Amino acid sequence: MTKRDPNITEELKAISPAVANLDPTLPYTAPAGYFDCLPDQVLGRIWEMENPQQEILGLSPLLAGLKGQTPFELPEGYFETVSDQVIRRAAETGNQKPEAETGKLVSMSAARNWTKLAAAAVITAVIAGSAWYFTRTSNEGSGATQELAATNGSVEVKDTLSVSDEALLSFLDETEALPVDDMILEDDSLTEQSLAILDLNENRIQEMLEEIPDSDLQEYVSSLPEDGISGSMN
Amino acid sequence: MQGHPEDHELLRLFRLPDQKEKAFTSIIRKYQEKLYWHIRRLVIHHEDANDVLQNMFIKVWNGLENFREDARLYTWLYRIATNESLSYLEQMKKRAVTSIDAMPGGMGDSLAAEKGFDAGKLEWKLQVAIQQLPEKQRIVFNLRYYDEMPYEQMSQVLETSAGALKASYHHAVKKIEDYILNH
Repeated sequence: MTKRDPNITEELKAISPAVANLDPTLPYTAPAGYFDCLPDQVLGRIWEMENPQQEILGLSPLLAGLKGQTPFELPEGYFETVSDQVIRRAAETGNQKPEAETGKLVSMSAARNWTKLAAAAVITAVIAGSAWYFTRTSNEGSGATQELAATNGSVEVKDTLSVSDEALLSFLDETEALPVDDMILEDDSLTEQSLAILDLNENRIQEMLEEIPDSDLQEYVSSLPEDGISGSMN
Repeated sequence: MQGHPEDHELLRLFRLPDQKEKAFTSIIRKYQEKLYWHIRRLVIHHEDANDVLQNMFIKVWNGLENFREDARLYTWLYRIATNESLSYLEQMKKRAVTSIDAMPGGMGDSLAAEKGFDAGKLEWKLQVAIQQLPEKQRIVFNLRYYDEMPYEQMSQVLETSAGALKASYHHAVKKIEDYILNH
């Protein structure tokens, strides 16, 4: 029986004489020589952890031997010239310095959205102008007209009772003067047909309207808001 | 401990780069048996105890540099050993929940798988009774009954008051007695 601390034995006897009389020797053992080898085993694991090459050597000598080998070939002097190549290509393609020299690149999506909106506004203005011209010629003398106003590149249609011809022709001239081509060419979604519509002046609008059957034009006018056009249709 | 250098001397040597490994080997040699049996009584199997013991010594290697000498090395080592054992048992429980090979009787069956197990022998009956105890009581009983650890030290290992540990030990002994007398 293992020799015990008398204080602990006394304490145990006070709680349970039956348990105090049990032999505290464990019925199981550690493998022979286990404690002789343990320090080396622990230090071996620590050594492997702190030395990755040693670790892979222990796990797989085959993989340790392959470490550092690559089947891929690299052009001679690649890393000495790659930075110059990048800078040269950047200068050729965008006539700009690479990001590292010019700072952060900003997405162009916002600018592209603006051009789309401007193009849409111009197209709307031209169509509205066409409609106005038609109603003016077919209902001359009615007194009710529409005013087209261009403000800061955007165009809006206002309902008024009278607008002079000079003002309207001036609007059309201004519309044509907008840098539409520059904006439209960046937008792949626009078709050739829509680009052709942009290239209009008063004479061409007249020519176009002559080609359209009266019934189609009447149908178009009737689809416009009543309070804006009813005066001219009377 | 007889025949081993003092802890403060081992710690001093450990902080010298050229003496580090030698000092650590001495620390392992000094405490390995006590810690092994503490772990083994909790996890039962030698292979498991060996895993836990080696892992805990690796943690000691990584943390010893920052060890504050106002605490006792012996107490600190026991705390790491206890925590590592409990973490290991927790992992085993989680694995048992998801495994179809899990033993339904838990640690009791684990004990029965040990070489030389004989449920009729008193020494094995004691081990089975210990395994029936709640985790905390089992640790307290082992530390007091086998390692004869003073309550003050145990209090530092388990971060529980000495009074609570005393009560816990009392309950554990009574439960073990009850088990042995009724089985």
